[in-house]
Amino acid sequence: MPKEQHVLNIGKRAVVCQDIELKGEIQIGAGGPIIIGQNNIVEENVTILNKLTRTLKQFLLQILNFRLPTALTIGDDNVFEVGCYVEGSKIGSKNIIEAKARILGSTSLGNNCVVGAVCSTKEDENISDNTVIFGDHHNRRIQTASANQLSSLHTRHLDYLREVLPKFNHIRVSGAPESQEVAISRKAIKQTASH
Amino acid sequence: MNSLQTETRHIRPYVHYHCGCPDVNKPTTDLESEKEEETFDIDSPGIHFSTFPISKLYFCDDCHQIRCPRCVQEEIVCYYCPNCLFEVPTASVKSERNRCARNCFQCPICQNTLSVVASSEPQPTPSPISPTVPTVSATGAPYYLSCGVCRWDSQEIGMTFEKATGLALQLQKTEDERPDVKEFDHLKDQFEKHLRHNTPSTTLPSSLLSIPGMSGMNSFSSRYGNTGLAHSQQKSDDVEKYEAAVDKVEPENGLVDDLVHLTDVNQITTLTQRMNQLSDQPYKVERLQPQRIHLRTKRVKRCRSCRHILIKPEQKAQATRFKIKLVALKNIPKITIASLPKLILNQPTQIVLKFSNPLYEEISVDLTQEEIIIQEETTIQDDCGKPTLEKVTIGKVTILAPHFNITPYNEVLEYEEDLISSRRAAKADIGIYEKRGNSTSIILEITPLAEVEEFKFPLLVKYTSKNTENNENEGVTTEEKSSGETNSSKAITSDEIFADESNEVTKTLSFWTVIGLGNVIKAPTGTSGTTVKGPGSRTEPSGSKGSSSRGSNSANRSGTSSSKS
Repeated sequence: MPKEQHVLNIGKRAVVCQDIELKGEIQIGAGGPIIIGQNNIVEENVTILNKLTRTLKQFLLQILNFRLPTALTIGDDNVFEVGCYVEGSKIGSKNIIEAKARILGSTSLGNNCVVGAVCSTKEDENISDNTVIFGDHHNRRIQTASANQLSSLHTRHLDYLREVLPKFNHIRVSGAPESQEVAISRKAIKQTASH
Repeated sequence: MNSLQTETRHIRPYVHYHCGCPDVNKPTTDLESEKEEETFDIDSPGIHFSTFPISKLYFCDDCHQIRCPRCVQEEIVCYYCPNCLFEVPTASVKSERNRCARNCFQCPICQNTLSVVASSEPQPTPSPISPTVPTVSATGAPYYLSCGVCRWDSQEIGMTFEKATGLALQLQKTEDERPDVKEFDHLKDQFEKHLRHNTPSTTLPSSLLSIPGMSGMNSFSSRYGNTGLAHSQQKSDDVEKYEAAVDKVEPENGLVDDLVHLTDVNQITTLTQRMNQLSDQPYKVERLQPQRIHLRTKRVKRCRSCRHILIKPEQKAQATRFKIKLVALKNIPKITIASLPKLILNQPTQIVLKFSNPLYEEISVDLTQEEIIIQEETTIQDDCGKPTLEKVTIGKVTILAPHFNITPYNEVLEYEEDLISSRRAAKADIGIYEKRGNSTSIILEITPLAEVEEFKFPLLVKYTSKNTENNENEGVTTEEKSSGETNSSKAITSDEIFADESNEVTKTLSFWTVIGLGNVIKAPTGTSGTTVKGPGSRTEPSGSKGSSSRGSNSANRSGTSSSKS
């Protein structure tokens, strides 16, 4: 990865909502526009890319629809854990992308999905809601716990992370000469890994 | 997965130590010892069973020999649960079926440890996402098991708990009612009665009888022993006719139909999942149950020859220390490949082997041969089409410094190695790459003469340590040098201890190692045999100058051979 990614770049057409914590090496808006929803947690060394390269079929479809380039839309309440890599074309809500997981190609992810640690999706597939990808063979299953229970557990998980993560990271004070804190929003914080 | 691992094992560079296993191969060593002492066939099919990385080896102080996992005896010290670290008394291990009888379960889907989770109460705090709907499960029981890896939870199969502790006990009832468990218990009752009745005198010690199946062996031997066939025949007839407690275990209705109409592989259980639920081995995913976690053991390891203890762990499950730990790493020189450039056909390449001394006394190492020629027997079709065995030379290894000393190990040096510049090799020792701390690195020149997938060569290492302390076993000559080569099972790791007048005990040990260096590649196009491969490959014999370039060279090659220069 090029060095420039140590700087938080936000491209022209990127939309960053309020109350998002952006940490580590993040580049927003390198490719196409990326729209990130509310209440997401993005941890250190996460790469979120919107690749403009699309397959020919998709490209033709895009021309037909006159929507060029497509944005990568990320829903609400997602957790992107340390070192994960997200390409994708659409990410739903309440997903957990665990450490070093990879979402490849123009995959679209539904809601309430879990991509386990070091697991990856195939390129260009549609992952339906509640899918869990786990284990060293990237096994899949549909989690069956009731939606209410899941969401309450998930919100508690997010709250916990929001409380704990700042304690273990060096937060750069804004106003430093080479401050990387770009005025995204009130609470957006640029952090580097603790070591 | 497994095949991949074995494949990579061949290609990765390694240093493996040979263990002669004198107690395992007793009958054959007499015939082979002489031959092995001379050549040590590295292409024999048994090589993978007699050579090990040093981390797997032990060292018997009394025999003064290397011991491999094949030549140690194990005794169980304690049983414990790896998850809750509860020590299970030996008496109750059997009744608990070798599994944790407390709170530890493994996931039926992915075999990871499950955790107990309380069902979430209806949250008083209004959250914007979830509307205020009571979220307590319909069953009412507040606790369930949940897997953090695959997100399986026991509510899927309707398993909930009243209390968060003693889950196994709570499950016991339902488990005992299952027909397969019932049937097994019934069978056990039937035969236990018979076996007890049929065991007149215990010839086996009672400790062995606790091992499942041993008591059966005992009755077996007594039945067919010298007690007479007619007598025993009568006894074995005593077995009552067995009547099944359960009519038919689990007629899974329509299973075959279901399997025929299967469209998705995820609808049936995997082999691992079935094997983890041995009693009924269900095909349907929804019939999988969480299993109690298997107990582990801590073991004492003994040398087979002298019965002395090599490994003795702390009795407590929580303690990770060892009371006795005689591992090879602490007793014999450790050999690592410090620098390994690419091996190119017909080009002499210098590699660096680092010998580290773990002992508190200086040792002198003798590599016996100065030149090793590696040959391989291959069948070659000659002109008439007849296959003939022919020896093909694969390569040549030249050791520039077959004799060298290694300074003793010193804890202080571990921390101050950088401060104390102990590069005594500056005075141009031929073939010595560097000396620092308790290690000496030497240069080997490798000339591959055939394109092979794995270039490996045997190396006989003989080292002598001088122990200045007044040792008890002084004067005890286990073996003379001369006899070691011709005779005895100890020829591979021959061992001499003798004392001279100054109470200096010298100990000599020799062992074979196999060093694998990965594959040999052809010279890149446009270069002949005389071309210089890299900046560091033509280092002078003293070797200390080209260290930086050599290091980078090896780093490029592979991550496994860490270049420590």
